[in-house]
Amino acid sequence: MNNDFNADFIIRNLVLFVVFIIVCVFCTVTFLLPKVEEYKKQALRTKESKIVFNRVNQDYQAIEAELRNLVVQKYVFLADLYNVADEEKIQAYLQDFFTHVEVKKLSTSLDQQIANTSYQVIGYAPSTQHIQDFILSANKMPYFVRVDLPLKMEFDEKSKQIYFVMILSLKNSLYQEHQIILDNELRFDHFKP
Amino acid sequence: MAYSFIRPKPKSIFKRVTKIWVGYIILAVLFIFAYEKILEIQIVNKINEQTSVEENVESIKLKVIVVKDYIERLDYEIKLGETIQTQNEMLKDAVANLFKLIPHQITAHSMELNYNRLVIKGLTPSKEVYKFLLEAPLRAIFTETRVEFYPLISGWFNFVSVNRANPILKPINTQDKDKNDE
Repeated sequence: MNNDFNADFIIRNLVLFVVFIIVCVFCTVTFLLPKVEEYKKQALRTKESKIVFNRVNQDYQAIEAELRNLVVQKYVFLADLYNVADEEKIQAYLQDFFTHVEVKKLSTSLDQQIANTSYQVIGYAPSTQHIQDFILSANKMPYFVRVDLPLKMEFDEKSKQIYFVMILSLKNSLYQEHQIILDNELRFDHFKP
Repeated sequence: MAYSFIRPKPKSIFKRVTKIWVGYIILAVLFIFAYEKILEIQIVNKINEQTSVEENVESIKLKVIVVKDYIERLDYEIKLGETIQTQNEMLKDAVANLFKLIPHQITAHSMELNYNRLVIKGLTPSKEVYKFLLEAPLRAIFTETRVEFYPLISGWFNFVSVNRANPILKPINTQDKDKNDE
């Protein structure tokens, strides 16, 4: 009786074990392995995307650094170009160089989103050297200024000064930055040194 | 009234061992399905992550294009500024050189400088002084030089000198320069 019981027990266990294995293998092969495979493929795709992202991000960082360097080096130029002037401001600036200064707006034109406004400046200078010095110091004005021709100089007997008429061309950028530039605070004035 | 000496025991269709194995099988199946579910969630997460990363890549690519464009624009503006600075320096040198041209014997009362024209009005002790000391250097610069003399009682002359076409004083046209570079 005891031997019979053991044989029945072993066979029953063996059969159930085999069934267990079959069920496990079937479920694993049918359901689990395809998912594992799919997961691995997806993980690889995600990893590739991350690699692409890192490369693109690196490129972007380099370009942003290039922009930063350019702006930091040439900040004054750009600030001057975006600085809006008018007759009063120019007149106030020229008072330090000349006397009886009159500034008159002549014309405005637009090219490549840069407004070019011409002003006629009439005034008196103590000497021609003052006029020459001013032409050079126009480069240091807080505006983008080109001293244009015609330039007329005449010695005034009454005041013993040089009466002059010159043209100043003021450039002012009207460039509208892309929304991305504004949103990401990449406009040149955010990199003020 | 009892007919048996032992108490009755509840009997099941399945034996205890069978129940245990069935339990194991169910447990294993549940475990496999749970693991499969977890993988599915992970796959969805990975897909979402990939989508998000790809969106970021597209966004950064767009930013790269926009920033490159902005750099080009700033470059253009900076070059324009540098050109204007050079033009101012050239004009200053041109004016300084013009004053250097006038000898101390001649007095200039007025000077009108344009891109291709220079008019000087002044006083000279004699026509010869003007011709040798001022007209000669003016001829070297301008293609056409014309002068009118007006005699004074003192023997001196007022003069009006009109000179044309001075290529040095022509403005630098940045657009033309760019076209040439291309």
